[in-house]
Amino acid sequence: MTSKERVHAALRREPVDRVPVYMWYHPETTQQLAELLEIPAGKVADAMGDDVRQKWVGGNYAMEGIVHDQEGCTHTDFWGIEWVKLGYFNQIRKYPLQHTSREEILRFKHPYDKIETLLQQMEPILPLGDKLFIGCDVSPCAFEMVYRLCGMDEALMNLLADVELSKKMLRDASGFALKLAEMACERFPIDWLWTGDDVAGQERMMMKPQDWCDTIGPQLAKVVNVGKQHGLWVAHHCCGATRPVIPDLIEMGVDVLNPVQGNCPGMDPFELKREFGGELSFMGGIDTQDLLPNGSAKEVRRVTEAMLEGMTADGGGYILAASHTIPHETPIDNVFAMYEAAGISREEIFDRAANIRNNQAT
Amino acid sequence: MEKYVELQESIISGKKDKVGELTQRFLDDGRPAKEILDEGLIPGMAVVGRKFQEGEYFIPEMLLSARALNVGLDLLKPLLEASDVKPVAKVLVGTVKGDIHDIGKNLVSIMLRGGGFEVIDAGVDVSPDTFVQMAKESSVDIVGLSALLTTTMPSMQETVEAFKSDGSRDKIKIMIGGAPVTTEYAEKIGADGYAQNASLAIEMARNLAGV
Repeated sequence: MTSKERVHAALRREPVDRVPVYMWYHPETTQQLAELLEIPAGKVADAMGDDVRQKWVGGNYAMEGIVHDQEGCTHTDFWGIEWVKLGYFNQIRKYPLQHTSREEILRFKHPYDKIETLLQQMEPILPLGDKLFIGCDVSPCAFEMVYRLCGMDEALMNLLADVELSKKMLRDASGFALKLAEMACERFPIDWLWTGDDVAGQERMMMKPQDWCDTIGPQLAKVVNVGKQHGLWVAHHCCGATRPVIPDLIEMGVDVLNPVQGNCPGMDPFELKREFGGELSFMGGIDTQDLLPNGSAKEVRRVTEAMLEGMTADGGGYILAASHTIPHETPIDNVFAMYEAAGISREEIFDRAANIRNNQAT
Repeated sequence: MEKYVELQESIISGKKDKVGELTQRFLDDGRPAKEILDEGLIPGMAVVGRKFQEGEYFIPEMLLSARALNVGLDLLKPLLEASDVKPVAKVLVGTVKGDIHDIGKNLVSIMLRGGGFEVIDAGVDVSPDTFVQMAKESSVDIVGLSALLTTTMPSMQETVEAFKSDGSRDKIKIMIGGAPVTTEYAEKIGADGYAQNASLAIEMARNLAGV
């Protein structure tokens, strides 16, 4: 079974030779694996046996796609957002529309002239599409883009204090993601459209679920709909306690929910599977906040095995992944433990790494 | 007191202009700044904290109430200082080195200000030495450390150690919070307390301040 066949089959709840895997690594974790496997960092996913390859073509490229060598290095993205490398990731240092006038906010234009440049980022993975499952990530799709522009406080307060402005900003943000999605779906032979919009915290959603339904949800739905119109699976990423809006996500056509942070209220993976598993697949769930960095390899293997059993009880609908990026303080044995639970042995991984080295040498 | 109900309600509903107008009117009427604070603004914010804790309010409501509170506090502050009214305690808050996530830290600041604490915000990506230096300069009673990332949690321990090395650890209380943080972690690194959310942080700060 190729990776592509495996992921499609799992999402259709058809039999698979093993559960599909799509891990996100902290850059330092990737580096540790690369050194151990004696391969370039860019080949780690190949050696590990991950089934999905995906590129950020939306604003997330500026956050994680651009990798600076030095701490403190900065860049300004196409939206005018200034990012600084801080502790491996780029984080926002300057929000272009924070503390500006309402008029200036209303005048703001998303960088439609850069869409071609953004889409070009897909090119390196497209040739892999005969065997691997290919995704295109157009996130952030609505609210998350708005808070990158005007800062979290203003974005949240405007939801209640200036609904008209808030809706306009959300419409503009989702309009850009929608255009990216349309062009990506028309141009590239992708397997899923990846959407994302972080609106939840550790304990609950940032805003009232009803306010999300009134303002953010309808804008996100437009982007999701692009994938559905093209007959693709649509995946959606939102960290934290998203339970209250899962029915809305399903209704708008989301097929796969990520990252399933089981330690947040209402996000127990097995409960979600029971309640929504008939209509929704899941990707994630292996805890990055405690289990992976602090647990033993034995515990990780046990939890992963239980996760696989519970989350595929109806024959599929699950992609093995951590509940976010695997932090770099995670013992490497814990990473292997997840793969071993999925039937990917350490030996198999080292064999693939050896093949990668051989292919590079010849 | 009944006359402050409208001011309390304006805080609860986050109406900043109304809070400014009412606070000014009470001052013009000769009401003491301390009374307006204790009977208008703080009880209003207490309701906001309770509504947040009970799940009725979310972050936008809390931010709007905080913005309204600040309008009132700005009017009262010079008068409180002139009459030598002391805050409940002085708290220095900041997100630890390597981490620039500030939503949680800002919510804690809001709730503490609303509870009558004086809050000095050190910002984000704050080094252990900066925490020590700022705590000294402002003679704070409590230091609040925030971290969202598991990768930056060790900065909390380094900050606690920095206070020890400086010899000022026994003069201040340290409370910590953030998504990956736990009571066990607080104990492990020698902090004085952990609060799970902004609303509980104020209770923790009161305990630590002995009020």
